[in-house]
Amino acid sequence: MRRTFYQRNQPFLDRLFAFILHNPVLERGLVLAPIVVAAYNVQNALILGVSFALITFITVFLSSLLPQKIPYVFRVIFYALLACAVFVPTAMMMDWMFAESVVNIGVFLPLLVANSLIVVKSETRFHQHPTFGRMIGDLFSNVLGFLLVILLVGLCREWLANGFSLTRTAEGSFSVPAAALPFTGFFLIGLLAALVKKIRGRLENPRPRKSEQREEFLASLQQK
Amino acid sequence: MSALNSFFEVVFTFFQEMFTYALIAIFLENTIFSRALGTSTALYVIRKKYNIFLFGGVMTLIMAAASVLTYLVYPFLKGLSFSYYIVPPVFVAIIGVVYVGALLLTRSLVHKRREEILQLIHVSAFNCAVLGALLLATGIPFAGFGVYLGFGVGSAIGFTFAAYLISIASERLNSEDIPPAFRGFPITLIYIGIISLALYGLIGHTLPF
Repeated sequence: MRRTFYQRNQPFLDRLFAFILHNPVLERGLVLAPIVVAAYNVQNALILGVSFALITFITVFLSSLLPQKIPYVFRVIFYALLACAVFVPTAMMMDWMFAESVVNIGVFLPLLVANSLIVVKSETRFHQHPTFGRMIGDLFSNVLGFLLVILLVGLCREWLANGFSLTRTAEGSFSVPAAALPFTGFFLIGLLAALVKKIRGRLENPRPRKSEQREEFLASLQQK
Repeated sequence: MSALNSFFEVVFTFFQEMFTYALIAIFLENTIFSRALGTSTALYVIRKKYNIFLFGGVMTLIMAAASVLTYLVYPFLKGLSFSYYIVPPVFVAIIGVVYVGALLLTRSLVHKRREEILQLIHVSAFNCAVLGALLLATGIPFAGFGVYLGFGVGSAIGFTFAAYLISIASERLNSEDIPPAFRGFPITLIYIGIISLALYGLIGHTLPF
């Protein structure tokens, strides 16, 4: 059977589009809480996305320099404390950039210090890469994937809650204020996850072309 | 006699606060269904087929110990002008102390199912559900010891309750009856969303449209 462009270049394309095809949120359900609860508008999504990117990227990068001789238990505690050290300037910067909006995010900004990519995946995934470049590439695609999903979800929810407009709701227009509530976040991420799974399934197992289908059908007839 | 009365009053208030805030944390502010905290941990526990109730027990003890320490430490932090920045590292340090303490105690005191419990401590100590519950408890005005303990224990019980509800549906959500694109993780999220919506209605909210 003829192989598609994706099948011929799968390892390269998988790495290049890992932020979509192996998205940390849509494939593995990591770091869901900020997206489901707090990303109900674009501004919150932007604050959380940029903070996550800075905290996770810097923490995982610095933690990779830690010697492996230190016991696992202390390494994990150190990763979280390191993330706290990065959190302080990040939160200050967000406070300066977005003024009072950071208050709306509540505990979800400080909670980024204990996200799964730092506490779990640093050890089981990022630090396991054979080269430093591979680790940075993987880290970058994970951070980009999160940023993409949180912005998309924030945009959709603000659009729905504001009556299908990104400006303030016009009087009398139909809007879905429940879009700002957590269950809508679960539904939206569930639908996005299904979409990505569908795309991945279609890329890995493409439908045979009509001519190929005809050949298969004729071959099956001959066998009978 | 009046000393005895005031003692009973203090004990009664403590249990009343603890019970009320435990119920709030289990149902009204459920860690997973209301705040999505620790969802990936719950899914991981279900995927790895760990014993959910044993996991819940370990998490409850960790959360209770961390809540007690938080109650003792937080009064020194809340008055500071930069408390927003200093609270996360202090709470992470508290969780770290409880984590190491739990591992040491398990190694020395527990003989039955020790390896399994050690594995569960690694998963249950450092996650968003534990840190989130501690951070949320500090937002409750005039919170006493009963509130901290009740909210911490209730959050862990609520997490276990949510993980159990997800696990009992897990087999069907991964079955052939579900279209391939939705099978597994996507439909599980939609399922969690439906329970979240049901709880939202159950506690008396009306949808704002």
